[in-house]
This record gives sequence, structure tokens and C-alpha cells, in this order.
Amino acid sequence: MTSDQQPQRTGILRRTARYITGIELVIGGVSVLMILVLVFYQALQRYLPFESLAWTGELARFALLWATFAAMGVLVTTHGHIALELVDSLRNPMAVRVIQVISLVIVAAAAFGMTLEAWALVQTQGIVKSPVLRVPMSWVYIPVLIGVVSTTIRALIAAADIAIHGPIIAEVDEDQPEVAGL
Amino acid sequence: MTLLLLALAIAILLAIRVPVPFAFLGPSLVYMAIEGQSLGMALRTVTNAASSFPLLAVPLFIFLGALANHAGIADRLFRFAQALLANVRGNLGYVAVGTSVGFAWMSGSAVADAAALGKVQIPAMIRAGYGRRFATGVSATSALIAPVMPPSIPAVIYAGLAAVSTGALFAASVIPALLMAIGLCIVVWMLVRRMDHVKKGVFNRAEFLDSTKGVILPLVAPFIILGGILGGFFTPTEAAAVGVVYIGLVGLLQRSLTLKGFIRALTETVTTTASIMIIVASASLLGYILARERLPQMLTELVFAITDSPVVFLILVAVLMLILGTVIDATAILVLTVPIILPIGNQIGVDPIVLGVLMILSLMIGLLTPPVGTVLFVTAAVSKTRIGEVFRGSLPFIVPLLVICVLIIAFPDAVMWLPGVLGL
Repeated sequence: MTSDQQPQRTGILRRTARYITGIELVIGGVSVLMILVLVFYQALQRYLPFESLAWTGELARFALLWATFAAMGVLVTTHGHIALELVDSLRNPMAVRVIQVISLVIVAAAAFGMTLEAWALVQTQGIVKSPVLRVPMSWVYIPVLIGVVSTTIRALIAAADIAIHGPIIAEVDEDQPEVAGL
Repeated sequence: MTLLLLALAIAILLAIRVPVPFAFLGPSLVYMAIEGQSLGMALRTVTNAASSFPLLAVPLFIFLGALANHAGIADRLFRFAQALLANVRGNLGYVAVGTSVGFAWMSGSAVADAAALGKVQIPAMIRAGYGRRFATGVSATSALIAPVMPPSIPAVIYAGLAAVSTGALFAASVIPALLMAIGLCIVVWMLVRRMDHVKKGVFNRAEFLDSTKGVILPLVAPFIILGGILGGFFTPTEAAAVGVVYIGLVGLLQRSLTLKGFIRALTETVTTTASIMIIVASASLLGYILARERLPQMLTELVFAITDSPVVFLILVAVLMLILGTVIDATAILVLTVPIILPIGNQIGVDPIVLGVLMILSLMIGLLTPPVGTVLFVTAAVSKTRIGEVFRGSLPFIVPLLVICVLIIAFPDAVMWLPGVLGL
């Protein structure tokens, strides 16, 4: 199936997903910029008479965590997670559709498992403080919880989408190939 | 039995297109539940791995490469190399290798290198009459220099896992990366000799001088980054941040980096970082389970039953990495295997830096082989070529890479020469 033959996927769910994607990418982008600024400040404070701030390293580590989980769900929607796409080459479109739906339901189940884990941490880690910033660790896990909830919902929506409209065939835009992985 | 079930579940999930991190997370979460581990334990393991201090260099080096790409540095390096080698027969083949070496000093990702350079190199070669197979093959294989040449993202991950100096690993990777470039140039020379239709160009002094102006400032970046790390001025993570700021300023000064380009680079950084870090995190949970099931001890006993020779051990590691690299993502393999292989290597007397360089190089070859050869897919996409054609084009260029693996095994001291000279 070529892109021309693939059914148009439109509607309110799509538009909502696009806005959520935007928000998640902004959170991820801000987190990456935070890492850049904090680490750059660490480099500067070695040689310039800046005040030494012990918390920059800790906050940068948290930002890496937030950037990772902020985009976790986006990658489900954009098919950006690294996967073996051998089944896409099956000749039977119905088989491809069924396998893709099962695969996304498994993703949703795993993400739901992570959601339960994240919820448990948010609820129980309020009494534990981070070593330097002294913020409750439950705060650190809130963006993680949002990321895994988003992943669960996105995987379910994607599974429903494929079940209704047919399989997604991996295609790479010539101008903007998926630049992911090593 | 538990391990077998776990392996079987992961294999099935991978085969039915479940993304790598979820194929690891699903069975791991089931295991944790069955074993009665407290709720939250699995996620704590995952988040600890995804917020490790040494891995902060990963998004920064990715950002550096993306920014260099969107600031047009890849294109300018290509133009410069083309002008420099204009009167060499088959120049575009060497230009592809040379540009990859230049870009590799700023980018640690083969996929980013293949995407940035492939779309410039391959059409230029096809227009000049080189075969599509040759053009895609040399471009895809040259991209593998990026994750070996410092700053290398797999090296950052390995150093974090093995608790070795990232600077020493970077320094040790320089000679193998340069040997890769030389090896690829030899294959280019051998193949171009048979291309009678490929003629020499004419050296144009004005074009050379003009193109040189465009690359002087960007080519200072590797000296800042690597000089900063190897000279002990910055940690690798700090050097990455300084490099990003420098390349950003160069892009602004040369008016080649737009706000749109910056945002695209940032978005690419977020998605690439997430795709790598999620694998690191999920594989670390699986690694915790494997350690709990005493797999490292079992494998140590097995290896010692086979050999206690460092050479044989390194051969086994290289073969294992080459095989695993064809079917599993390289990041996942590093996170899963380093905690198992490294202690065995230490007991046998293999330097962890040599082991790291060998593992990274062997794994990167897997990026060129189906079914998970991401460089193969990106090269095929940017050149609108069939994957099989790119793979066939890459085959002759894989030979020197395998030879370099053999050289690392045979002469490990050569790998350690530069770190020794630099006192790392």
C-alpha cells in the first residue's frame, strides 16, 4: 500500500493528538535546553568567577529523565520507536493489520504497567527528598507519570486507528528521514 | 527456565513488531510482578538508568550533530572536500569518506550522518556517473565512522556502563576510526579503477578558497570538543555543551542557522534522545533481572570452560556482537551485554577500553545489515534506492571494517597507544 492508497486519517482525535504532541515536544525541547544551559554553566564555573551551584547536575539529570519520557508517547504516534518491521512486508494486508494492532495493544499494556508503577512512586515518594535540591521525589516522577499515561492512550488510539483504517506502512520522508538511534 | 521463557517472550514480541523498549519492558514487568517485587521498583530501576550523569552527554552530542546539520555544515564540508580533491580520479568516493570523517568530529550518530550527508553525496555521485550501488554503499558505510570517531554516542553509553573514562575511550577510538577511513578509501580506489567513465576534474583555486572560508569556523569545533576533553579542560558532557553553543554561534555568525532550523534540530534531538534513552532504560531493567537470575555467573563459567585466552575471548565477543547487531538495536545490546561481558573480560585480562572499541565497531557493522540496519534504511530513503541495492553496495566496504576488528584483536596495544600518550 502506498501513501496515496493509505486512507486519510483525519478527525478530532487526530487534531487533539497533534496538539498533545506539540505540548510533549515542547516539554522535551525545554528539558534539552535546560540540560544545555545547566551543563554549560558547569563548564563556565570551572574557569570564571561564577558561584558554584551544586544543584545544576541534579536538575540536568532530572531534565534528561523528563525529556526521555516526554517524547516516549510521541514516538508511538510517529512510529519513531525502533522496531523490527519485517511483518510489514507480508503480502496479506489483513495479517499486517492484525499484527500491528496486537503489537500496539502490547505497547499499551506495557505502558499501563509503567503507569501503575509511576502512580505508586508519585504516591509513596513524597517523603523522600532529592539529595541536593531537596525536592520531593514524587515531583520528579510526575512528568514520568504523564509520559507513560500518554504512551498508553496513544498506543490504544493508534491500535484503534489501524483496526479501523488499515495498517501503517513504514515510509520515510526523503527530506526528513527518521533520525533516530545510533 | 525463567531465562528461557523471558528470551522467548522477547523474541516473539520483537518478531511481531513490538518496539524494542516495550518488548523488553513487557516481559520484565510480568517477571517483577510474579517475583513479588514491590510496585515502583521496576520504574525506579528504569528512571535511575535514564537519569545517569554520564549519559547527559547523549542529548548534547545528538544536539551538536543536528545543529551542525541544520546549520548547513555537512553541505559545506562536502563542497570543501569536492574542491580539494577535484583533480583526483573518482574524487567523489573519497569526498564521501572525507566528509564523513569531518562530520564525525561533530556528530556521534551514524544515522544522523547518513541522513545529513547521504542526501548531498549520493545525488552528486549519481549525477557524475557513479553507479547507484557504489554511491549508496560508500555513503552508508562512511556514516559508520561517526559512532566510532569521537565524540561517539555509543562510546558515551559504554563508558557510563563500564565506568571507564569517556576521554580515554574517545582517544582509543581515534586510530580505529582513521583506519576505517583509510580502509574505505582503499576500496573506493579499487572500485573506481574499474569505472572508465569516471574522469578527473579540474582543480579550481577560487572555488577551493571560497569553500575553505565556509569550513574554517566549523572545523574549530572538534579542537574545542576533543581538545577540551583530552586536554582535561572539560568533562565530555561539558565539552558537548560547549560544542553546541559554539556551533550555534557559528551558525548565527555565518547566517546559516535559522530559527526554523534550530527548532527542527531541537525536535530531532528530543525524539532521537528519547528513542535511545528509553532503550537504555528498559534494557537496564532487563539487565537487573538477568543479574538476579545469575546469568553473568553462568556465562562466566561457560566462557572459562571454553577459553582463558584474551584473543579467543575478543574473537568470541566480536562474533557475538556482529551476530546480535544484525537483529537487535545496538544500544540495547550494549546495555544488556556490557555488565555481563566486562567482568569476564576483566578476569581474562582484557583492557575494558579495548573491549569497548571492539564492541562498538562490531556493533556498528550491524547498522548496515537487515533487518535492523537503520543506516541502511535511512540511506535507502534519502537516495530513493531499494534497501537490497544499498546493502549490496555496502558489502565490499564492510570488508575493511571486519579487517579492523581483526587488527584490534591482534594488536590491542595499538588501540591503547593514544590514551597512553595523552596520559588518560
